[in-house]
Amino acid sequence: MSDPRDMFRLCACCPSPCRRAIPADASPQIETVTPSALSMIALAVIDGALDFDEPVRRSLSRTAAAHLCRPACPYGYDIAGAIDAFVADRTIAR
Amino acid sequence: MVTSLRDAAAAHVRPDWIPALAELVGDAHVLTEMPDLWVYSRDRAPYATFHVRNANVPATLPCAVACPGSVAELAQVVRFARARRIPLIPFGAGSGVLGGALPLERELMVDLKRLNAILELNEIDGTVTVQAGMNGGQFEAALNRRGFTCGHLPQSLHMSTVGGWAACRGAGQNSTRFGKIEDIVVGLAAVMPDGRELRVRPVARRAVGPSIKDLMVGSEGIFGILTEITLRVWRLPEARLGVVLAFPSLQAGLDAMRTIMQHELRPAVVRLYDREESDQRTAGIAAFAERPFLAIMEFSGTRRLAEVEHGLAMEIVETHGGSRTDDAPYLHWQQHRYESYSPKWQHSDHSMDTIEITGPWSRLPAMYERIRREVLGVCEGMYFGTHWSHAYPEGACQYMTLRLPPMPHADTLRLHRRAWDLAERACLELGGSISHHHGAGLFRNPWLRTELGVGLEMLQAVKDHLDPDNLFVPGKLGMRARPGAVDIESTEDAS
Repeated sequence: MSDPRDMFRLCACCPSPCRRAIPADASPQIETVTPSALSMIALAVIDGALDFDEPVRRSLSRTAAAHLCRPACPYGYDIAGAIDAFVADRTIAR
Repeated sequence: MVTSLRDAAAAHVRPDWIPALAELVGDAHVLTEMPDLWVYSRDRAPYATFHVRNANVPATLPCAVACPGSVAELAQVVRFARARRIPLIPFGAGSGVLGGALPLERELMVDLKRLNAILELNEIDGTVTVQAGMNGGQFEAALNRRGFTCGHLPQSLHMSTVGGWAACRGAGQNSTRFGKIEDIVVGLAAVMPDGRELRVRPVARRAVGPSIKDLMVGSEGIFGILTEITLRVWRLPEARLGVVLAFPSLQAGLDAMRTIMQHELRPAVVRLYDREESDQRTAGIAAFAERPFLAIMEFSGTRRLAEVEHGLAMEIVETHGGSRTDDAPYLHWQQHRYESYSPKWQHSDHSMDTIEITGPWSRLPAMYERIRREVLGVCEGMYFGTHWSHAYPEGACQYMTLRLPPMPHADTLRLHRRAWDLAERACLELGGSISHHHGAGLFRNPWLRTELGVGLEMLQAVKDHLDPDNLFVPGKLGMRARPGAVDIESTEDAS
């Protein structure tokens, strides 16, 4: 899937079976670090519903857990990689 | 009216009590920034998804998120909320599909995922005690490593928590053998709205009045927050015998399922598909040309037991005109049994949902025919497919999938609600229960009173006593909403 928006939109609406790959002792244990949540935030930025401000940049920079989820995505998406690229792109653009 | 994320964010005011809350659980474990509030404003209710994909808040943003790291911290958060009259919602993995975790009045979300340890596996008693916030897939994997299974394997296994299973009275795909979660849970602990701890000791059976356990299992957080659950466990089965069956008619398949259950057999899996769902799974398999209705069964346990149950069941299947055929649909089901999402339909802006009801065997055919006819009449291009799983001697779960074609957002909300109303009304009129295992949450409020009658007043009376300020998950499971809470039905009308 070439358009990041399409991928973020699919992931944001997915019920998130990949989250099992986040270890129980990882920190933080919050929704915001799951790939689906990161996609939900990125989608909102692309659609103009959230500004790419410091809280958003901070949230989207916490991709360590999402990278662990990549092998568990049933649909083969690399959401964490796409989020990293999205943040880098937006940071340069600012 | 529908609230955009941008408008909700502009109106958000950070509560002045955040520093005091942070003293209880630590700064790092209180979330107040807008990306976090946006993420916790939804659960996996399709209604919420329809809003989120349009950058709308399903109801309201939460005011904040607290993530206690111990039961003691959780109790402190509860007392804190009660003292300040802050409504709250416990949050596991947010996998509920009925809106039970949607904030309606800027509630405080209480995320339980830090409470995620297995406390004890008792191999003598065959029980495991686990904290409520543990991921279901990790829980089952940990048991498997010790040679056990919980037997509760919902499609949402990897995306849900053990506490969520109990809170919404869920069912796994092997429930026909192991029971629903209410049959598997033998004990629990919870923090009540006044901060005290409730304990139901884990014993096989008791005769000390009505079941307190059953007051909590399925309570969806309205009476207290589950913290610890003791469940039955079983040795991993020595054998799993899967079979694929072709039936000449839907009635023949239903009759075979019923007879198997009424002959005291306990298959681990029983699934019968209507023509719509059968055709999707049987293309190219010759046996289905004359017998177009697909069923999948699995028999498990010790090899001898599985073989005996398999043999007896196949005799019943033959009596009803069924025949065994190609294993491919069973293997495909096994491979994808924990996936509930269709990127294809999401990408093309279709709007999907599922409705699971329970019906007695004598009424299931009529329920199916009427609901199918009425839901397909909601709009051109509507998809409706059904399977029957979770079978019992008295009846079964009828699991229906709907899919609306792309259309303007306001029309989606209106027609989606219309389809639900038709299905739930028909279920009630034909003697079923409006929910088999997804729970009630917010979305089923309009039909709960008809099903429960005076029973709903009993639940409200218990809630009013335990939670006099109506702070725990207000407005869900048919309970009274708080003044000022968003009413999604009026929201839909106005959209």
